[in-house]
Amino acid sequence: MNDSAATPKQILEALLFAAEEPLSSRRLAGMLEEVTPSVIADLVRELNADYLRETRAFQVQEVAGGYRLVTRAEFASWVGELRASGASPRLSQAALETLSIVAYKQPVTRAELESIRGVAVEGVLKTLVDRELVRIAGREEGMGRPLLYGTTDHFLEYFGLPSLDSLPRPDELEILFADRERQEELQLEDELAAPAFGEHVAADEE
Amino acid sequence: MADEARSGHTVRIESLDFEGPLDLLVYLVQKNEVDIWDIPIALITEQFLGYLQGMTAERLESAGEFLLMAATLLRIKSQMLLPRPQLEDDEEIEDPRRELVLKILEYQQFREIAEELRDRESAGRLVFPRGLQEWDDELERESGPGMPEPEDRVSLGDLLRSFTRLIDEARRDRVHHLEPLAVTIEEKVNFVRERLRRDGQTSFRDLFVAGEPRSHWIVTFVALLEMVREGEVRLRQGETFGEIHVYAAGEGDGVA
Repeated sequence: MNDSAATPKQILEALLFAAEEPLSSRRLAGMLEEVTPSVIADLVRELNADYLRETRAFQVQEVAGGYRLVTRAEFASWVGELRASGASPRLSQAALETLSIVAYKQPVTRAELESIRGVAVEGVLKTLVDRELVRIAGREEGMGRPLLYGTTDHFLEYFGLPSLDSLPRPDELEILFADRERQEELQLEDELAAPAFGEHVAADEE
Repeated sequence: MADEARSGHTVRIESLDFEGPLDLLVYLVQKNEVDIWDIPIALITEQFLGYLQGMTAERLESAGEFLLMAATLLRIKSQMLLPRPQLEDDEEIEDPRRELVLKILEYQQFREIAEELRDRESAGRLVFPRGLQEWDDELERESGPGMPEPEDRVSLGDLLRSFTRLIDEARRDRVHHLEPLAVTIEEKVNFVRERLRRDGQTSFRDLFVAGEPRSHWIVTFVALLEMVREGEVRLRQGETFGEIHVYAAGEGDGVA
């Protein structure tokens, strides 16, 4: 290969190598000149194919609206040793549940989070803000102007998510809603024939 | 149905730990394998209350949340017992359980997403981005003999903190100097240069001559910032909030 002719793929590789934070595809596209974000995506695929073929120890990861180089999982036990301050603790079930709700409902108030989870979330929220997974995204208009919470870019990085859209959609819920409509219709018909709600109740009484 | 209700007493769930009342409800619905759209409310209420009785002292801080749910369950149960009002044509009947069922389903939905996040967290812990380690301890030990061991890069924040501390200390003797700026940045750059040529290094604090007007200190500070920017001097701080040392570039730092 002619050393004076840098290919877009090489330039992309150099940029990813030098950057410590994910580089957004828009920024990369701007730096590579006359290259669209979709071309960047193609180049990233090519790079990853190269790395795989050459059995490199790293790969390009799409995360938080951009790309970064990461080591492959099979080297975790060695690379982890480099970490200065040890691994951060895993998130608790409460933290993960709260994060899920913030991710979908943002911007969301603490009261809404507590209503959905049915428990107080103050402590969990503080942990999530401290770990920079959740940020204060403003205040709601109206009574008391409560704080609104949203997820951060670090949230996407932590969970290796390209964007919020890459979270599973709660489609199932809508299917269940559809079921409910149907069920209610059926139930209504049943009830027109039967005098009271749920037979269990009457039978269970002692 | 009566058998099912009686078996409710024997369900051993007291020792399990639940995130909250909804978590417990989801568990009970699944354990009893009942239709979420037709929850046997009496049975579930009974088991729910059974769990409450077995709650240990350390869970009591969240007991309020469980009690609130218990009250809701009991309310629904009593509503279910009321005779259904005569229906007019096309009149909708609101199932008393409906609101609760929607709440359970919504919660369950987010629990599934939480599971997805947990899997992603596990996967993410195995891959590492660049810049995992910022400074190599081994390299730092190579600093010159007799020098205080420079351990950390100095941030602008550290520098400003040290400077404002100096200014604050000076402010304590309340003598007001009202005089024009009699010193230039260039002069102060030369002053710092001269000091480094003589001593090889200096502490940040020593650059600010006692008794000098504050305006001169500010000029010294700006001169120092300028020299850092030009790469002429390097700053090191032994410990957080500790003394900042100033070196001529190329001296006292093993790492360029």
